[in-house]
Amino acid sequence: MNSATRRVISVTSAITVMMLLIVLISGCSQATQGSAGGTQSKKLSETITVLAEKHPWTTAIQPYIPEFEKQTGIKVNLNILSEQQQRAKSLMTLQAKSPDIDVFMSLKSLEGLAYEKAGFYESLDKYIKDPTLTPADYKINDFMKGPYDGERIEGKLVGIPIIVEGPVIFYRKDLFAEYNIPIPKTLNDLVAAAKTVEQKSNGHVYGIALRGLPPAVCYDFGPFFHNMGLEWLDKNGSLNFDKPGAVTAINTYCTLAAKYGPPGAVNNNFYQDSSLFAQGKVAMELDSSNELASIIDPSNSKVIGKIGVFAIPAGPGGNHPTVLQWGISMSAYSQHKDAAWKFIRWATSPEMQLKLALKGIASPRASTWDNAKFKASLKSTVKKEWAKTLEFILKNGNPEVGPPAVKEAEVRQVIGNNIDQVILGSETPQAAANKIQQQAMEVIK
Amino acid sequence: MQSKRHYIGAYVQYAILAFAFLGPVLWMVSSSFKNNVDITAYPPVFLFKPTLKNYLNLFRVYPFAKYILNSFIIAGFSTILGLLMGVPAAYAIARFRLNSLAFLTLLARMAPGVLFLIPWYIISTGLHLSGNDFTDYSSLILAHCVVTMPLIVWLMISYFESVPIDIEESAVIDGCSRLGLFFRISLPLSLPGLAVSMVLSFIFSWNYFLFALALANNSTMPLTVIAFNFIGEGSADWGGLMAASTIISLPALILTIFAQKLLIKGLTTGAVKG
Amino acid sequence: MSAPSIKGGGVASYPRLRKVKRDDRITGFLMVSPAVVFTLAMIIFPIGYAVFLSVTKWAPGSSAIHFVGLNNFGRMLSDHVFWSSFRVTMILFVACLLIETIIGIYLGIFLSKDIPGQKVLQAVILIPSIIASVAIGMMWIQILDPTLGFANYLLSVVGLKPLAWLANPDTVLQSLIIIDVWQWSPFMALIITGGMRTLPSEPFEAAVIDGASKWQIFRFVTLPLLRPVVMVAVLLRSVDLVRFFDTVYIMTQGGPNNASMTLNVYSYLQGFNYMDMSYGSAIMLFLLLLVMLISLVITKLRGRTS
Repeated sequence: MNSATRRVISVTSAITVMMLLIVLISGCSQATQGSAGGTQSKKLSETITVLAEKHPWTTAIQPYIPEFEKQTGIKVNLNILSEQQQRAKSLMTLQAKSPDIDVFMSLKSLEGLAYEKAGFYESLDKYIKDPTLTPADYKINDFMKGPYDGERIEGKLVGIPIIVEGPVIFYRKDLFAEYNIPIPKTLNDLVAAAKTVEQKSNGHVYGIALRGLPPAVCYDFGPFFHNMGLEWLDKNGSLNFDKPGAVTAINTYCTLAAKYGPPGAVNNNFYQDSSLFAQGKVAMELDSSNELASIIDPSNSKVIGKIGVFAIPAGPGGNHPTVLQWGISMSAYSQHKDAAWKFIRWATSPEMQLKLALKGIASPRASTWDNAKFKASLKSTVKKEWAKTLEFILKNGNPEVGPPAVKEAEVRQVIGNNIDQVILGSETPQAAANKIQQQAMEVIK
Repeated sequence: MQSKRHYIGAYVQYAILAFAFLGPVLWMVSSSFKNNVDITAYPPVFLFKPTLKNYLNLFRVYPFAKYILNSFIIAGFSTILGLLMGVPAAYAIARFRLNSLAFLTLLARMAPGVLFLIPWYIISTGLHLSGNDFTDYSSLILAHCVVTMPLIVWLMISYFESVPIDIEESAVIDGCSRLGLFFRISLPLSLPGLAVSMVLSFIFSWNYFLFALALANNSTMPLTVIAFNFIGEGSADWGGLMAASTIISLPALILTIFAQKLLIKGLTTGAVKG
Repeated sequence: MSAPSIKGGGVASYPRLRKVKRDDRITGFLMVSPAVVFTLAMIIFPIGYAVFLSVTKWAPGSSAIHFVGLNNFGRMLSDHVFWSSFRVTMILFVACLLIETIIGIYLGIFLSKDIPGQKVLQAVILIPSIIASVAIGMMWIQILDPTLGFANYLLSVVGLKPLAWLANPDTVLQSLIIIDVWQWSPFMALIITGGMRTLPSEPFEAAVIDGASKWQIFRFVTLPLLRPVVMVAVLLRSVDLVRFFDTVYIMTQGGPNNASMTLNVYSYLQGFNYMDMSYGSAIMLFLLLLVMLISLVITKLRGRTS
């Protein structure tokens, strides 16, 4: 055979042998460590696995974890995955009843009911009530009602809130001043503001960027629905999309997206919205309060110093913003429950939540918001407005991001799909409302 | 003269092809040296001050070197194991016309990857295969053989089929056994084909991310799973993603360029006439 | 033995050596057995598990088992999202396979010519096939962004109207096809270039002497000779195409309004996002059967040539 081939084959085999050695060595050292740790772990140290999402909270708390390990001697194995993958991994692990996860981030407003029915969550009530496990300085009553209740499913405490967020509107102060637009007080004002921007800028700047990607629509759309005076479900557990207000809500949302939004809004999620806003292509961005970090980052944004924040304005039925809390929960199959609780307690303690708040994580604890140090950290006006808006959301928020159901994700997809049809102009708001009512009820049943 | 005109036509095609296939790649690589604000800029920014920040962050914020090693271990060993199982199988299939068995080896590749996730996870926890790095690597490597082995089998079948039967026949007359035929006649004649299969299966295994989700732990996670982590709420890091993507494609690219000569040579050997 | 039987092979080809035949068969089976045993070991439990899930009513975490027979398969019949996913899957499969095969053959033949710089080009155009799909997805989301994307910038430079690409149900499939063709044609081309270089030169010389035109040579000499290798490329690509997943999962999640929902993505959403593992498994099994059927047809077509 020719020599080049020979050479490649021999180089390949050399690499193979080397890799084999690396793996064997690392494998052996791991194995010895593992077995040594295994025999001693009961007495000396424990390792817990925390499955977290790639999220601002995770990024903020990560540097403090060594402190926890030093204090308690518990080793923390922090596993960070993207949202979709984190959910798949937690479902897979818990479904197999595996003890591989001790603590995991979980979105109660999405998978809470399904996970609770499946028995995946360890009840935290007994840990909270036991003074030996939870000393008084943990101040459990300090948690705000909305996020704390959001972690309670069918009466059982299944998690502790770590961060709160909600859809808010970021806007361009300079453009609003230039075009004489007042801060919208009602949903109609909001539509009018978006219209003014498009007209006065001759279409160079779009009115508003909002979510259109089907599974993400409910998060932004919820307040429009609730501000018509409607809950997702009526007393009998039936959807409220057959009420006249539902059609108005769909119409308002879709008018914003179709007439005064950027083209292709139906595929947009938070990152497209923030890119559009940060590039100065839209005057308003309706998205998660967490997006503040992206649009005030100088390496990311062209509109620094021109940003303001306000809450989604009221509708005929009042103002009911959506509040979403993330929580950390303990797996029912964990074999290190006491250590897991120690971690949860540490991560959600008043001191830690203050530290994280100073890094821009919106805290679910009331004391944080009153803290002088925290208040002093809100130097810029945009941060002050952001904090004010979040406080408003926290006080008045509705924790139901979408209609509560075991298959909530599918219900949200149905709503998102039909709203997209209206944005695309292939369905009337009335027809979409009818379809949502009928299709989503089939899923909820 | 005529041949020169011929070349001009060819080079026009070159230019079009290179633009079409390479354009988006250049966009990716140039974005990896930009700040986020320049990546999403419209109209696109062609002149910018290049920054290495995205690359430095990869290694500062993430244990990126570890992920690269993991990807190498998983892709490398699943390729080797795939070759060990697939090459003899391909030979036997080609020589004995075991077409139904050929179909069977492809079966694992036909199932949607998601179908394997929970069952494999149950097996690996049931057999206590998860938990330490060594067993995690092993189960991941086995899982990735589902990606590599069928590819190797099918590519190698066509290479073995094109080794002229007459050569083998005369060796049999000289008293060569079946294994002898395989090792001393057909395999050497197909070595370059082997290189093709090796490169392609390494690339496929390197790029596969789904199985690692079920079977990897924090310290055995390959690059491709981590690449999902760059776009999160409040932290869409386009530059980091593009830098990571560039790094992810680099080993496969280097492998391909170095294997180019071989690939072509390898694909040519089929032409050996009896 | 005469020259045309190059492609053939098999026990019967050794007419003078009947006695080694039996040992030979055993050796053959021993050689193929690791691959077969491995494949069975890896798939039996997952497929069995999927079958089990698909005939039971599954709730996350529960240990109670309710057999529901073929209900989940019956549900597919009346599920319009399932049917639209089936349609989308087939459209993507046929369109991508056709275009990729044509471009693959063109590229493959073009790249097999000895023109200076050919090796560089071959390395360069293979790059799309070796970039991880996550990167491909996120990169194209940026490029195809209706407002900020490079694609619409190019259109505006040449004076065309901007498109919504992935955000329009009428263009989302075309966009996905463009991306897939960009990503995978080079892979087809690589395999076909190899095929080109293995072809004997005699038939071409004979055709030239007979005064055949370029098209006639391509149609009646090149194409028939290339057929076996093209079929391997087609088979390998089909198996992946029918399970179209990565770019849809990353870029559109099946939207807008299910216009890009494929069977594989739909089964994933049912199983992992909607937490209906039973229905998700039923769809996965259907998909598996579909891939098997298509591969079987292609293998038969390939078998016929040799």
